[in-house]
Amino acid sequence: MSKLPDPFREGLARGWKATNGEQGLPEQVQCDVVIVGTGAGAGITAELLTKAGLDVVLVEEGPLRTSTDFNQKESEAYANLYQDGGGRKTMDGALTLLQGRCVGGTTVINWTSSFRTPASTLKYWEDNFGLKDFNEASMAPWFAQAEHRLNMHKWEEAPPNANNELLRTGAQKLGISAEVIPRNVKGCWNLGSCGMGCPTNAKQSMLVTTIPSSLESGARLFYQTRAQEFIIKGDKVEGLICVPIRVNGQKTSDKVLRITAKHYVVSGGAINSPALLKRSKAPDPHDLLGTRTFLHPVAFSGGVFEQRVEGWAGAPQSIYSDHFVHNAPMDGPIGYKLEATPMHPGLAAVLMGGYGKGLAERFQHYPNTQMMLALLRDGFHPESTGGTVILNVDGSPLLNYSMSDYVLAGFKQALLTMAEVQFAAGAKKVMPLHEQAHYYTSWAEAKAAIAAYEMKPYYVGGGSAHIMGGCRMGGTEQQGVVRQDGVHWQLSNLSVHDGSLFPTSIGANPQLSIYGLTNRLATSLAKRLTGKDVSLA
Amino acid sequence: MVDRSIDHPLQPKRRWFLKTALAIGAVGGALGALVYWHRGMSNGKLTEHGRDVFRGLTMAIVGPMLPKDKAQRDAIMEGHLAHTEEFLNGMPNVLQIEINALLGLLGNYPTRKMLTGMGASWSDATEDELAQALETMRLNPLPSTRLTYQVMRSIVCMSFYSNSAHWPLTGYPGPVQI
Repeated sequence: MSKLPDPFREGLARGWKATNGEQGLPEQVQCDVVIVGTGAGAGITAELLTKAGLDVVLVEEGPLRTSTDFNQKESEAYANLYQDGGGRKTMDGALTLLQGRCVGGTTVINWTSSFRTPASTLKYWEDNFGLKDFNEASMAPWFAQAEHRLNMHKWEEAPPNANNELLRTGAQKLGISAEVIPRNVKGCWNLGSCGMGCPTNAKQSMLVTTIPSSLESGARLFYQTRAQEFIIKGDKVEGLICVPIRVNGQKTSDKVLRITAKHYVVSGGAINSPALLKRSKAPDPHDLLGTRTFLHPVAFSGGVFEQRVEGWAGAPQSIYSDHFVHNAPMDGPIGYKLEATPMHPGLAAVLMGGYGKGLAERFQHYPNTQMMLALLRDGFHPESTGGTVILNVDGSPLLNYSMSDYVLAGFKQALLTMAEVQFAAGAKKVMPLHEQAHYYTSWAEAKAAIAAYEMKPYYVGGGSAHIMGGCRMGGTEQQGVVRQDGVHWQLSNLSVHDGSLFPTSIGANPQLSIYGLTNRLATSLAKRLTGKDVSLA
Repeated sequence: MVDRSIDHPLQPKRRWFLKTALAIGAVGGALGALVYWHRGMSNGKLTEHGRDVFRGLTMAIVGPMLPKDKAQRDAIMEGHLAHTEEFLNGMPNVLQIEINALLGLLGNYPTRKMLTGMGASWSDATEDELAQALETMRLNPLPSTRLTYQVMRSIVCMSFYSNSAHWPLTGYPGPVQI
């Protein structure tokens, strides 16, 4: 347990209004704006709307855990801070999905990488989804404000850990780009535990920035409170029905909370936001809701080095290569970004693969293993159309996402690239995450073996921590669930402000894309609702 | 026009369809029953059968990393099963139901034999039999069987290795104290 100051708890002691649904909810609440969720989109929106003087209510289904609770243990982090206790997967079970579910959302457990939306992605949206004025120049001020507010900067306070430095070494040997990652940290202790909640409050997540500022301005927070459905009449939302839940998501009672507001903002993240609108039977005349839900499917490769790597220590991600994004035309094979993966024992066991003596051997090499990842850019090609969010029998969301042959071909290419980079960096042996993989002791051997892999489900190991789309923006109602100002095409008092807005994946870790976009949308919403000009920074 | 399917003996195609439908029904019914016969979890607790399955899977997956001393090994296993139960309880109901179904399929002889090829129970199986059972699932031609392997492996690995009590077995020194 962290013994450092915990500003959130101090705020609660000063009288911030926060209610744990499990301990009982009121029957009725009224406010100006209710925001569903407390992650990236919700936090930015809450800060701007409270700045404009609006009475804001935040509804979060996850628990409230703060820096004092963050003890750097995976076991507690997955159960408390992740969707489905860390067990969320695509419907076919082929890809594990790491998504946050706590006050602060995924911003509490992400690895802090902060990239602006690539210009090529914005251009694709303009060209294909009718989103006008979405380009590098018009979005730059919105990103800049978010970067300033959240202290995002190229992180050069400490050298990269070996896990990241080896990526740079290999890339440089091959003559491909390798850059320093900007991170949203202030006074980072370089612990390496970002994925389990930052115990020092260095990570500038929503939990330590915008949610506190909103609560300080009078916003009310209901956590362990699930937004069940909107009451919709005509083109308006008339209320939001919420239910109290335990940490594992089970309902505690049949009592409900009804929230009525002038405006409703959905910021539950991709998967949960479209699911909420589906449960609410929101109008969807063009059958777009929940479709084009994208991942960055991630392929992994472990390289064993002579020296210790200790992939658990230090900032999880500090070096990246966009060589295979920049050199991948949109209509060609899928592009991918190279990064490193932190190696705490639970995650490492999953990513190293194997069982019995094979797994024991991999753990013998564990301290010397560098784990690389390739993050595939989904959604820019006719054979990369993403998945669809549907509802399970109990109303919970499922992501029906199958990896197409196009995506699987990208996996194979990414596995080849990573093995080549790792050998170039000096790896003694390399093992990609694939059920037909073994340790290879040379690039030539790896190249021949990987080329022969059968690329079929449950042979190819992978996951994703970035889920995007499902409530996409569109320039016309045939092109999107919401307009380009974030307001629902058919519901005039409902907006979507989160990663579900994206019409494609981003092609980079998406947190800054969400901050920048929702900054723009929430600033204009505040102006429309109050006439006031507010600014994030 | 005469409806030949009514006036005449069943045509081969129709007979095949009915037979297949009956066979699918019988297999489906049996699988359904086997999921609930000797179920793996009840009221949030692993049943003895569920514990047997997880004990066997854990031995097959992490066994070579456990101490050789039987008492130490048994103590680790008991702690791990308690932790697994906690891990499963952190999941929503729908996932628990799915895992319960897999435990039923792996726990009961006919479906275990079908999925893993292993006749012996998880508690009686030898080290080699356990390894062979996992190998059969891992590379099975049926995607659903490969999925079963991946799901159960993930649960065992996440539950076992994320447990700080097992860090010393892995080489992970633990986090920086603050």
